[in-house]
Amino acid sequence: MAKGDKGGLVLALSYLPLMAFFTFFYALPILSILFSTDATQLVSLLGDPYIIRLTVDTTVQAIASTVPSIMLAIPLAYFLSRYAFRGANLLRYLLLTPFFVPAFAVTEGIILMLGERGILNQILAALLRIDPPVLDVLYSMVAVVIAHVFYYLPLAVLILEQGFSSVDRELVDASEVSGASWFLTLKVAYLNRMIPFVTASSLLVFAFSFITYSTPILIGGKFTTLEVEIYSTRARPVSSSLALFQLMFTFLLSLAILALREKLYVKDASSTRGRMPKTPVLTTSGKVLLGYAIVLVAIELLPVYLVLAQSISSSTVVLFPTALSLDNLIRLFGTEFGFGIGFIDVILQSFSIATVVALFSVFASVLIVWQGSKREDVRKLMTALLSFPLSISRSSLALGMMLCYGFGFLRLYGSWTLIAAGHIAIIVPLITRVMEASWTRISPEVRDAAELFGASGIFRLLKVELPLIAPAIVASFLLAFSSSISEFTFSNFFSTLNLMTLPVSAAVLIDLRRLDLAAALNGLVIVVVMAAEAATSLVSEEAIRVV
Amino acid sequence: MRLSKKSIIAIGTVGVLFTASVLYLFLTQPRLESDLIVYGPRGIKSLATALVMEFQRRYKVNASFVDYDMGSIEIANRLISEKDDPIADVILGVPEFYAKQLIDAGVLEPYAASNLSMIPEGERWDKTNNVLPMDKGYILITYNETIVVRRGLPIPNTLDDLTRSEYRGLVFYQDPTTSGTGLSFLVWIMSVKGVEQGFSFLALLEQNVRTHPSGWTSSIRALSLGEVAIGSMFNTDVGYEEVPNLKSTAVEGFVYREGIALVNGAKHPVAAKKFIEFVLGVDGQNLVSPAGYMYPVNPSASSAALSYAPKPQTEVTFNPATAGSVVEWLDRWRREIRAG
Repeated sequence: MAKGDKGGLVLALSYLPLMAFFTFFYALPILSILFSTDATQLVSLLGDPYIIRLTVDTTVQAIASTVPSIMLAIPLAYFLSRYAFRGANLLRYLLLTPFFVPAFAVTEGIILMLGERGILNQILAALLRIDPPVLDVLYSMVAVVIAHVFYYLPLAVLILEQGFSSVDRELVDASEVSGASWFLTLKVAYLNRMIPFVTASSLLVFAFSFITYSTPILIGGKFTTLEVEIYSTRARPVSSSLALFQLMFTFLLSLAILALREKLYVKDASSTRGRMPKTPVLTTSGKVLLGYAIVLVAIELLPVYLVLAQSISSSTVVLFPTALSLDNLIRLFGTEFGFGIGFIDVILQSFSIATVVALFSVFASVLIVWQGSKREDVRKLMTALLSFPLSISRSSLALGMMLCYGFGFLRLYGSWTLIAAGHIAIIVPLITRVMEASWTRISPEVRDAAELFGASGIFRLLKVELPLIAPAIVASFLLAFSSSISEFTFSNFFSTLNLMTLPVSAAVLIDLRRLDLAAALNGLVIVVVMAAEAATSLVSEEAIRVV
Repeated sequence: MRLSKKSIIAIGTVGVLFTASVLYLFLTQPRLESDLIVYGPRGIKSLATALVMEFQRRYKVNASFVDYDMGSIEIANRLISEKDDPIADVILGVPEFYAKQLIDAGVLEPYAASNLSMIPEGERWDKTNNVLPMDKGYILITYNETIVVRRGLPIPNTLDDLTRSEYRGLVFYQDPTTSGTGLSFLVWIMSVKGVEQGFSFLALLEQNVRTHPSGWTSSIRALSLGEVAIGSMFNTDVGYEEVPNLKSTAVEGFVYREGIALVNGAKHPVAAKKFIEFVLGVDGQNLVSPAGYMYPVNPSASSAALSYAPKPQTEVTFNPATAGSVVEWLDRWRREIRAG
């Protein structure tokens, strides 16, 4: 083989894992949507009053979810960035809990909280001395917005905290020394620095709220979103047009987020000069903020707590479980979810799929990052291509997979492989980041030394690089496993009466108003997911940060 | 290059985990059998499974029932989309009101089963024999007597009664996009009121509706919890032995009729025809009541298991003049009624 040919082959092999992944999991499904879309129908969809109303409602909901999330997050983010206190890490970990817990579990907590006999109605009824329910917000857009605030506030805090931490201390000092008013200090030192971070966090919360799926299905009532509409019409030709419409919109959102990410984090990660030092909580404002932080985190944890409390209580929990019992859990094992599918089958199916997904995802990510580590152009393409799945419409991708592989040439509908493929599509981009962050810290000297001693690429990978990133590999496996266990959209699209994952069976129980059993099931999922997250943070703190 | 003990253990563990998971998933996953493939909606799974199992036992034919977790309309559309290379040999549970779409699409093959004469002429609603009658049931206005009596409410008798202001927040009917009963209720209204008046009626009714349960179990659950008290159910649900205390005056009701059909281009036509004959015969029809809670169309078969259920005094059947409009109605229902 000539030298030039060999070089071409090596180049092609470098791109192969990334391109194969992207083609199979994204390009072909999206092309399937494109080819099954009727152009006339797509155009008429744009002028369809129902679709316009759906788009407006989805947008209004996303804005309504974003504004309070950001407003409530700002003081907490400022506090976490400005003050040092014992238990700060614990507070941060507790705050992040609702974000890591599956959305459907938080949603059930919201049902318990806002229901007719929920804690909110009980408090209001006691205060106003009238019979509950005082507030009837469940099964409406308001309920969806409330759930989103619970779910995305921690995410906003995390991003904004980075912003506050990067405020230039010298600028603040200079402003104060020169006698500038607090408003001017705020404007000069904080606002200029914070606006991109507020924009980034707002955009992310907006994007996630816009592509919301499980929350409106479970507590939206008559309120529905474009994502849910794609699911509802999945067996009809119109769904392709809708999916294409949604894909285009979320593609633009992803582009904006990607641009901001590059602007903020990539540049910002290297600079630490002049950053705000943390001070002890001694001042009045510090104490007030600490109180705010504790109350907010306690409220944030309420839905998760209520689910856990209900799972071990035989009577309806208002705030504290009055009759501790494992009855719900025991009854769960006697429940049938489909034809011949019991809870044990659901657990085994979920865990087996999650194991396959996690192992495959880790393997694929290692291959992709390994090739990216050898060539800068591959790494750049990898970063760009794997950033889009962040906020792309999952319902559309699921529909694409259904058209392409479910009923297309592979005819996989009804098979576990289709659920696994959906999970892999969204998990690989996530853990590739974790892997990449760890890989980039391998010292070039180590590689150079291995090369100097004549080590082959494979030898270097197996004997040098993989052992060095072993914690990231374990963390990635755990993250992938817990993400697969809690994934809802693809599971719901591809589940059948013979094939079901834990989130889908939880949705079945919520739909049947079996909140006691759903709480027991969600309690189990919460414990599994939180254990996986805790183990991940023990193995690699960085993995959690990257996520 | 030699691997360390640690690496071998790690690789071994990963291999075992992966193999065990894949093996479990492959071994427990239902497979399509090669001799006969029967399509049908998820709502008929209990009856279809009983029919397929009995057919397998008697005729030693490997048969599979496939529902793809789809409703009756979706599975019919699935069959249409596979027209060029059909997977199914037989489709059952074809609703009377959706048969026209399948026939027009050319995915069915007319088949006058040798025992068709056992079915009375009045039950054979498709005269082209593309779809042969299989079973029928009755949708009624039902009410939870405990709640209605406790609240001192009048007993509902007719469709129009459902819009009475006293029932505000107590009425339900199933989501027609996910439930066969809900779809039948929608067709009932369209059949008696026509499309425009029907949707006006539904909009008025929506003021009283508390929820649209996704199916049978969620309807029973909502009734049991007292969230709703009045709505549409099959007549066989009346007399439900636990809570709710479901009753019906059965003044009027909709006759839901469904059929079975041979797929055009079926890969196993001999087994398919045999299966259809089995379903129409006394042995197959005897399974309809106990396994499907529906009424057999073969008068020689027994429906004694349903003797407790009230039959409507006035039977409303599907108005064939509106055939072909069901998808349009569903779309309109989603847009105008569910979305408010």
